[in-house]
Amino acid sequence: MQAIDRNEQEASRPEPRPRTFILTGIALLLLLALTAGLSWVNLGLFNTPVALLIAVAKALLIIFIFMEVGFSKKLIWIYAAIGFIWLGILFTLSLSDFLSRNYLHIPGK
Amino acid sequence: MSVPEEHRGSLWNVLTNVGVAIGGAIGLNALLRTLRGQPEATPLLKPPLAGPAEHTPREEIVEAVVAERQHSYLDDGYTVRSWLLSTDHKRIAILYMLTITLFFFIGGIAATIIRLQLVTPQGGLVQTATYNRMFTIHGIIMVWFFLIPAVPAVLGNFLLPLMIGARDLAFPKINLLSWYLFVFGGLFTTAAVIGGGVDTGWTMYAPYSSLYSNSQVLAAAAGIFITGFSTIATGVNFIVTTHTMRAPGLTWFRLPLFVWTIYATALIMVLATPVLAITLLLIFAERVLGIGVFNPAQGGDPLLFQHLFWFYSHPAVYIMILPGMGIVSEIIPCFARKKLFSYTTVAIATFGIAGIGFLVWGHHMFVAGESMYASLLFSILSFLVAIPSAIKVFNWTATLYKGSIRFQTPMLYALGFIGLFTVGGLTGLMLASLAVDVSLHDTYFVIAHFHFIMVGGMVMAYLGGIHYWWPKISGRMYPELWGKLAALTIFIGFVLTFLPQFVLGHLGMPRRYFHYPPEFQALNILSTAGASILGVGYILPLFYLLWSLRHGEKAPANPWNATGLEWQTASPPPKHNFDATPIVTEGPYNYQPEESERDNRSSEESERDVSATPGR
Amino acid sequence: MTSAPRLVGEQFDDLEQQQEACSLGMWVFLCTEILLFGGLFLSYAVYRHAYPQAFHDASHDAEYWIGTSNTAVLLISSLWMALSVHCARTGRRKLLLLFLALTLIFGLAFLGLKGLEYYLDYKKNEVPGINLPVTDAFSRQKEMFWTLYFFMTGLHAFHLTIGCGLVALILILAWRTGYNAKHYAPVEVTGLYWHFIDIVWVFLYPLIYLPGRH
Repeated sequence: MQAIDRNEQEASRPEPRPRTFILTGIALLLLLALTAGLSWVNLGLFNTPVALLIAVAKALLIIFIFMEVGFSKKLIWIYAAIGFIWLGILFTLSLSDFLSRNYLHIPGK
Repeated sequence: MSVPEEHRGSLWNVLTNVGVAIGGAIGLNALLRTLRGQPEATPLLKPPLAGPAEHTPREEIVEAVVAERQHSYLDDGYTVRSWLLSTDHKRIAILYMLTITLFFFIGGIAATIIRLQLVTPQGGLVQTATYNRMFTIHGIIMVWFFLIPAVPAVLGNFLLPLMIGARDLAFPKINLLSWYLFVFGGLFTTAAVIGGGVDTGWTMYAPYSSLYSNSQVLAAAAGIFITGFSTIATGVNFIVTTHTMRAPGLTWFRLPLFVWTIYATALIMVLATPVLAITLLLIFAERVLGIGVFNPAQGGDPLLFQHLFWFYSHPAVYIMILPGMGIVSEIIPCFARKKLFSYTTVAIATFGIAGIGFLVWGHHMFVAGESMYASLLFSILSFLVAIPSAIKVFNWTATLYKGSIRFQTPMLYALGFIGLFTVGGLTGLMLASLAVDVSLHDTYFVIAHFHFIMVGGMVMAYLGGIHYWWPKISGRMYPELWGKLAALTIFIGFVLTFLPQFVLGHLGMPRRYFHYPPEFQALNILSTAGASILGVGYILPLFYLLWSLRHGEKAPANPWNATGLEWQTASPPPKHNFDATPIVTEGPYNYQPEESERDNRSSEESERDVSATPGR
Repeated sequence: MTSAPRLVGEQFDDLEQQQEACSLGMWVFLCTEILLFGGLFLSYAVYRHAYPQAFHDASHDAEYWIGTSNTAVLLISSLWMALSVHCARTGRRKLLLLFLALTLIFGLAFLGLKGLEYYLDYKKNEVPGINLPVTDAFSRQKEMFWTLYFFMTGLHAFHLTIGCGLVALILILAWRTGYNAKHYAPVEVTGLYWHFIDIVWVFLYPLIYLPGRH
């Protein structure tokens, strides 16, 4: 809207430095090594949750630093989150059906 | 084919131009120009519409100068090319309007055939296979090529930048691209459903659509897939425009409610449409490659298709109805001359509907084998949608209370909307009840419920909006008497068509059936009779609105004496909407019932001449 | 700023507004992309829940080493992309060209490895509908894994191909005109898209290659 406002915000917003990017890149590769290595160990029930948790950590690093959401306005935070929130809705409510089928061992109940 | 000087720049020109273009004769462009002797780049030199030359008061000269400086968007080139390659949101809105009107009548013809078929219990008008294709044409065309784009792509496109004081949408080229995608997808699907025919119904349930149907599912779905991109592009454009292009001082809670609803609609478009896209891709893969994601014989689960499909298609009905609510929220305060009752709750309820609308899709699958725990959850969530919807209805009604109501055509449609939407909404609650749905599922009760919301709600609102903003769009007034007549015809025809269907459904007549037991005949004949009245009602505006383009009175900037930035600029607006970016200092709907009481009395002598007051 | 009038679309007041609109537009578009892939991830979740053993066994046959190297390639390409955006913003033209070229090379390397992987899958008779043997109910269930595998990685590769095209385009534009602190929206927007593709892969990797390792 008002150009002045925007300039002020622009100025007050910190910008990521190249070093931050490089460190993030290294962290991502380390996380990859971790998840790839862990996959050879049988964690039983936790195999997939741990792998997905590491994936979430990687995704957060990419979103907040590479995509610079951590350095952006709140509006960008909202739109970065909203897709994932809606994905959550799709998963939760769909799986509420698939996971609760056959509780009573009667077809359809 | 020469056009009289006074009609240049009217919508009449648009129609001749675009009509020719849609006929595929773009090559006529140069010919048209030559015939008219009008080079493309000279509209600025057009003589201004000045009054009699003998006595020109100072104001008139000034007005003439202004008129010349801010020549309307309709005068910005008269060639086919200047329309088909225009990135002006107003011109693209007109292109959409023409396209969806065409689709509306294609879908309408299919509906007519369905209703004629159902006059007798044994049918006999068309073959059974043709009947299946007819209700599929009706569903697919009406849902994807009329209801979804109708208000957002026509009125939203036209009004969003005007209402927020912007020169255009954020991405004008993407806006034009989205129209081309829409037309391309629409032609593809139309060719498929008319040429070969599709017999799956608009829902295209797998695995029937993916493996067994012996019809043009692939081509029809491809067209819908392409159109999906058009919807997404429009949605992205609207969201970005609303966030970044508002005029100085236009804070969120000063926005007209139409902008709120268009924004919420755009959000749904962006978040729901991709899921339909991927579902259609999976259907393609099943049909073409023989994979079995939805085929039980191959280890797939058909309910997965239904989950994915309704994750899109249930929110999609909110894409259709929300902008209609926005229109009603604009019309009611204007014709009741009263501030909208509790603006903030209506605005928040808009987002409530959009949000909760995403949580209820499972109520389409109560009898399809969904787990009963999930059904319970979806049933409860479905009841929640009623809350924000009811808030809106109550607020509109409360706005009417002690208002100074004038029953102009747009108001008739808006009042019709409130009543019919309420009936549609309440019957929706019946269907959301688990036990009741078991007996009503897939009966005419569902059909009636859906049409009360979509036709009684959305189409009413769309027509109301078209009439309300017609002076702004075309620069001409529509004939009021004909407008009222058509509104009443549509209301009567609608109720007569769909009220009997509630009874039919309750008695157990299933939807999509070709034959029915003779005892249902009386109600079916009633419904068909209503449909014929409804048909007349829909054709009427087509004629008198076209007529008004040539013969209607010239519209002033603000014929309804309404608030809102779109009424501050000329009718029709200049190419870049405003001469100077407007500055907003107050909230919307600052109507004063006492003042208008006076206005009403003085205008009773000369009906419709409330135009003299300039825009605020 | 002399070039500003040419660069600003006539609907915008200034470059800042345009920059903000472009970046927000891409984010909104990425929301649709998340849900586009979301439908496939949901299908995966549903069938993995239904057929855990078959998914485990089928995943064992997936090309673990190619998948892991590809993840590394794509993560590094994202680093190059992030640095490209930084260089565009600070107006360092030569470094921008270098990093964009590196991004493109790594992106193409990913596609090359992916192609090799598809070839190996084909050789090992794992392509449903073409040469995957389906004999009993269990092999039907394994087929579901491979179907989803090809669908998800295929859609991802399609997106990456578009991404490579965009990066190539930006590379040409950067070579011709260059970008600066006021005008770098095209680079930023391409970068967002590129990182998104990376995120999709970050989730595909543990779902496809890791379940069958132990």
